[in-house]
Amino acid sequence: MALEILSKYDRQIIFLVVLILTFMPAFYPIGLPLPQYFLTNKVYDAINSLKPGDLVLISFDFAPGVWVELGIAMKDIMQHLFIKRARIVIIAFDPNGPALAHRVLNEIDLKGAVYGKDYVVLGYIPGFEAGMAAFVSNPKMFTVDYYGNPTADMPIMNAFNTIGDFKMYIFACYTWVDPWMRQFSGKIDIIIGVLSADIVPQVMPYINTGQLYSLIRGSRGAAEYEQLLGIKGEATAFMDAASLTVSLGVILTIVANYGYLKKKLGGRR
Amino acid sequence: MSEVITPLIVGTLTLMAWSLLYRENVFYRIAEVLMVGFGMGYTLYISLSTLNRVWFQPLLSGKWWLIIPAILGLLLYTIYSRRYMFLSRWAMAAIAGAGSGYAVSRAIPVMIIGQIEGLAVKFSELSALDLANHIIATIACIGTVAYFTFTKEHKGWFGGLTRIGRWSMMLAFGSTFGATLYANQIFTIERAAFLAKYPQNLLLIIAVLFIVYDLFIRKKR
Repeated sequence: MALEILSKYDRQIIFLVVLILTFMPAFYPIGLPLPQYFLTNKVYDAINSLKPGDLVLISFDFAPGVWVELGIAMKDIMQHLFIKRARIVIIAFDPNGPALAHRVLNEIDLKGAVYGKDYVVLGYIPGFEAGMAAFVSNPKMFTVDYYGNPTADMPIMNAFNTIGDFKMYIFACYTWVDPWMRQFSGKIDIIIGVLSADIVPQVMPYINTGQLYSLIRGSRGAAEYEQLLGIKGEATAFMDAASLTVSLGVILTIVANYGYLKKKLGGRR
Repeated sequence: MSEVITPLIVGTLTLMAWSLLYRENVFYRIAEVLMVGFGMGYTLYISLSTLNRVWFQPLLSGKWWLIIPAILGLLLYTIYSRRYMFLSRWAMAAIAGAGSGYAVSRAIPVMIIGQIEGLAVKFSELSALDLANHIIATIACIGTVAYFTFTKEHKGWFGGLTRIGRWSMMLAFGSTFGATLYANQIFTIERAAFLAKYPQNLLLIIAVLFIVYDLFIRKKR
């Protein structure tokens, strides 16, 4: 009976319910519990174990359209890196990457870090996988940084000669991670992916083999990371609505499959 | 002033794009065209500035050999000429050859040997749950490979194995679908959180009034 009622109405009813569940927590936060994922803890512990001055390579490989999934997570992670006083080298294999890195640096507390000494934004490397291979074989390929400053005068550029000098590599992307794994796996000890939640299931084989040390799964991972950092950031604010709408998705999937099976079995009889 | 105007413009554009959820309308079309236009403009700017930084400036500073990739790049455009289109294949060959070379040489150690190494573990070092997970993953892996074997008919014990492969893939696709649902939903949630703030929350009232007015007009017709 309920199924017949549901099938009578337009899908706009579903849109409306999703919109209500999306907006409701924005006006009235519920504060639903947020269990920690073990891989988020692993990222936190790895960054927490860094010593001041350790070199970390970061690549921003996503477009502004997925800022909410990856940008917020990168903000939280980079904030942690600056707290730990790691030295950070930022590159990008997406043309939008350097601008997004610039935005992150503007929105976090740099803890007194000095540009050129403690961190640098080197810029975009074209060619995607060919660019990755070129950077891995020669990380000092940049003669000027993203802002046009000569890199030869920067103390941080003298801190590394080969890719193996980096203690950790963190990349943020929203596509299959195969190119990053192909070019960086085995070259840097700890590789961490900040990934859009939809590609996480496909990445698990790399986690199981240890080729990818750990990952942050989009905004959900960012919210978990904010809990570990003890801050109530942007990602935490979205989690009530995320839990409600995903629960609705699960309920609708079960109802639709129940209806489908019922119809199929009824037809057979 | 910009603290009020900018969120109002952004909020209006968000609601114009969302208006498609109600029905096809002119506001959605305007938002769509603006999105494509701004996107193309931005991409063009990024492309030209990158070309300037990584090619034109180094070329001016004396790196004359950078003219070679430029010539190869220009050869791609010969595809529009029937007479000279064969030249575009040279450029395509260079791109495909370099890409394959970089990818394939690293795919074997990382994606094949590395993954096989991951399957080969000492059972005595695993916990009961990890062992169960490992056995399931191994059977699913063999079943999935069997499913894509078309030189043997999927019957008997082999048919059973391919069925395990098919179920494994269905579980994997289901898991990916769930994660995709979540990942896409977060974009709406972020916009909702933005629209819930003042002054852009006033736009929600205007949007509701628009829909009510439209429903009233349509009913009258």
